[in-house]
Amino acid sequence: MAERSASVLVIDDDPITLTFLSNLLGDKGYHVLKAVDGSEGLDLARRHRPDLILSDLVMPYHDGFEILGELKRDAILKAIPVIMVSMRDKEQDIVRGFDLGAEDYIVKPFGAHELLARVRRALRAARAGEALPASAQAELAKR
Amino acid sequence: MQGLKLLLTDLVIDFNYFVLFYFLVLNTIYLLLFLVSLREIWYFVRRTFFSDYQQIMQSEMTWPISVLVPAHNEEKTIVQTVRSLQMVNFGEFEVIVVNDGSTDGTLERVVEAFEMRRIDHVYRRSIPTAPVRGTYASLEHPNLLIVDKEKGGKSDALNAGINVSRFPLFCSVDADSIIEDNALLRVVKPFMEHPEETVAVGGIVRIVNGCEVREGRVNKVALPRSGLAVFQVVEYLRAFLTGRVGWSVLRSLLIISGAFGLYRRREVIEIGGYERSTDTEDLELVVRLHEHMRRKRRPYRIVFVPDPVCWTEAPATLKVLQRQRNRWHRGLLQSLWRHKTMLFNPRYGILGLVAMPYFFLFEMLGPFVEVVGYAAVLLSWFLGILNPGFFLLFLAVAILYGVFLSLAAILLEEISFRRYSSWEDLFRLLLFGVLENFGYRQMLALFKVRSFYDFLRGSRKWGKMDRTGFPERKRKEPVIERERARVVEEK
Amino acid sequence: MNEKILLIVVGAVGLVVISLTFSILLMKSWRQGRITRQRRKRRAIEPGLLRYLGSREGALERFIPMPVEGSLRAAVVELLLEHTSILKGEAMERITSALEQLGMVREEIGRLRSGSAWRRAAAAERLGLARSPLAVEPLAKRLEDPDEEVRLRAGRALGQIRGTLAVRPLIAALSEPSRWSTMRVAEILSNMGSEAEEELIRSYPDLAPKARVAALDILGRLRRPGSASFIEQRLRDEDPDVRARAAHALGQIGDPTAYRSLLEAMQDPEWPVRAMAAKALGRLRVPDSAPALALRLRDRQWWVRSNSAQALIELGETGTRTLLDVLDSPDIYARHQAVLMLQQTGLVDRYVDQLCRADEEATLARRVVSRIAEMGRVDRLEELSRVHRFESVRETLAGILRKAAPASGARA
Repeated sequence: MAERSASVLVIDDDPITLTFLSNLLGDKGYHVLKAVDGSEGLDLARRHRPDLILSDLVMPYHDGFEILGELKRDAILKAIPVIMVSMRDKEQDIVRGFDLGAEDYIVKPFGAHELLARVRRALRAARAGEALPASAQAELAKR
Repeated sequence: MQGLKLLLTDLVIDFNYFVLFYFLVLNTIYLLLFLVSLREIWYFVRRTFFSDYQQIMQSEMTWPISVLVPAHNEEKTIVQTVRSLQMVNFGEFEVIVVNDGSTDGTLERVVEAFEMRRIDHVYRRSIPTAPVRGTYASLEHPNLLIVDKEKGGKSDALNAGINVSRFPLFCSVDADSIIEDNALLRVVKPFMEHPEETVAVGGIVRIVNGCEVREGRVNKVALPRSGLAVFQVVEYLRAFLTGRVGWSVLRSLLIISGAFGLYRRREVIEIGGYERSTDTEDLELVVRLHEHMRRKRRPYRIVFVPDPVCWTEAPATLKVLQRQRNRWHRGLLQSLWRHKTMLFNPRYGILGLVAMPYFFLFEMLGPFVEVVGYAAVLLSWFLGILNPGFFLLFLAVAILYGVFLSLAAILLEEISFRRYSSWEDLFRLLLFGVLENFGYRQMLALFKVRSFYDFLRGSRKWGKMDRTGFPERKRKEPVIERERARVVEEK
Repeated sequence: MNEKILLIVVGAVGLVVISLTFSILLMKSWRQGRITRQRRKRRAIEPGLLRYLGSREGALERFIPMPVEGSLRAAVVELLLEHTSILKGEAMERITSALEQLGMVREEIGRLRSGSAWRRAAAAERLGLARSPLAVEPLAKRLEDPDEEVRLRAGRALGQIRGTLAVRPLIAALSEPSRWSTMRVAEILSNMGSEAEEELIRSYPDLAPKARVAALDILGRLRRPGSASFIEQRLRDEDPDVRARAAHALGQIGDPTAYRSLLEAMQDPEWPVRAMAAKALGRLRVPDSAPALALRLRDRQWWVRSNSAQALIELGETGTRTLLDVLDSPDIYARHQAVLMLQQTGLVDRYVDQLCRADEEATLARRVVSRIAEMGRVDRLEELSRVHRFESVRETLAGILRKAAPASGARA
């Protein structure tokens, strides 16, 4: 399957979540990149252009919203789907995440298999987007 | 001539006995404080669940906090400070920067960085302050506010911040200090545990020199290279881990560092906010809170949390250090002098009977006794009554005891927070704990004696020393201003 | 003689100093050794253990070599406990069964009977993390513990395991004087749903005044519309704290039918009740409450004015229109609060943007901006007259400000 080789960037300042997620994804055959804070995360995203980003919200240096904003301003990086993974379960945070262009928002504590399913779906959706011709994409963007 | 010598000899011998007695009492107090602190820190560290802080953060019942940042000419650090404050772990809080008549770009930097715009603010003028020139808010950061006012000093800026603040608790933060991520959670906990009684809470302040700092956060803790700064690190460890913890247990904490402290707004307004006429507004505020609460016979707590909350830059040169200590000691003298009626006053409990006398006799007069003591040794030698064996042994006891106190503080750090993790740092801490008794201590005593002199000289012309008054308003007051003033007068 | 005593003192203090130094150094090396050992152990088991958590089947022994004992077992337990804060569902169930298999649950249940209150509290805390149903019974017994800390931690643990056994004792604990324990109890109960709701309403009359306030808070956080009518009645309680919290709770529940009783609460003699009612009305978003909120902009209390203005903004268009009407109010507080709110939400800036448009919007914008200028609330307007990106707007605005200046002068 093509998704096996997909690369995923995990950004989280909590070492437990970071290790857990990268092991979980690594075991499933994804190529995993790890970052412990916002600025390292942005840096890795720019250099490696992963297929998917899992990002924490509250982190030193750049929080998850700032990362989202940065990525979505970038012409190339904005195509990378971002899934927020956060302790914060307030409605306003979730809404803000989606408004800033997050693909999905997962609240910690999360179910491991549910998270994997959401990762698969996000990657599928991203590939479907790529497959469309440029004109169709522009059309989508307008809507 | 012979008679004079005899008289002098008697005097010197009496003084020597006095010094011996003084030394004994002082060190007994230190030892007791250390033991009290040891117990307290031991319990504190073992009984703190991390989940508690998470709960405080998530609960909607946690009191919201207004963080006040007085800033005078801080254009280099202010944006960074505000940014890192916004990242602090806490539920609901607002950050209020008070630009105290800066002559540099402090105001402009913040306005630019956070896309702020002027608003016509309506606020309660609970405490009179120097005129406010304008208020700025941001659509992007709804919990950030800047108050731009004419220069009135740090106390005045804090008072203006209190006026604008909305929440029941306010936290004063120095514009150049670095706040730990969980600092607010740590200091708000005593307010939640005893909501009726707690009026002020402080925490441990650390020295940032030598640490690796990135974007307003301490990334890696390390001892500074400069010896002068390491001396201060040891000194801070001693002051915070043994001194303040101990006094807090005895319900007589007199100082909450101006670098970081959390207060209940209502009581601070009751006492008229920060006092503008002393050199150390933090000490004065706490002393006045004590006085006020005791006078009103309201049960209250002023608490010290033995947990690191904030990092501050220590003076790197002797000159700056002297200036800082001069100011601190002068502030201490001023506050003690103003509140001398609390001394030995049973109405103030342990505070009046033990803590105040301690500060008077030891913190205030200690350096004096020390310096006169050295002079007396010289004089006895001159008079031929010096018993060298006795003198040397006494000196040895004094120094060893000093070493003991420093090492005890390092021990407390090692059983509790262990922020200095490398072996090298530990060795240097131990080494400087010993070395500080040969020179550094004596130097500080001299600084303090010097400030005593400044205090006496200053007090004579206090009436004229109008640092406290507001700068006169030259600008013509437009009618609009007047209308605003009227609204603002509302209680 | 004196010298001899001193010599002894020197010796004694010296000895203390030396032993202190050594104990510091020994402590550090012992601790560091332990940490290194733990890290090594952890590295050995971590990948296997994480794979165990991420898999759907297979017992623990398929992933790490069993049996584990001593410090290795401690490392496994620690690692499992650490992951309880980020996982739920299947993975969490696997943590629980691994902890049961390792004997951790049994051990901690034993510690619940320890002589030291601190140990009992710590055991309760860890059992809560482990979420084992085996612990429900023993934890429930701890709800009668003589130590408050133990009672609370046991209650919390039960809440985490989803045992509803704890509801009644926890509600009783609401009467404890410390806000901290109230907060913790409230959090546990707020996650319990209908069971807690029913019990809170049932036992409400027997609660102490402070506990009643907390109970209302919890009912608000439970957000169950069924309790709205019960809370509405509390708006007529004689205790103003109760009335204020009831108003707040109604806002949280967000049932729009409650707005009539909240309108009544806006007339309350106590300002905290009025302030909370205003805030709650903002959450209910019933446009009909706009006039009452506008009236409260003239309240003597700053908080009531501020909350009312905020609530008007929440009402959307009706609220904004009401705020604009308030600009003509004879009451200076109300006018100023309205201006501030329009500024804080960026509306003043938007009106300024529209000043030079060629449609009706411009007329409205002009009227609003002139009104604000006449009032003398010109800090933002003056700033915009310098920095606005269109020259035409800057000029128009400057003109309005010039014209308004004498007007405000005449009034004052």
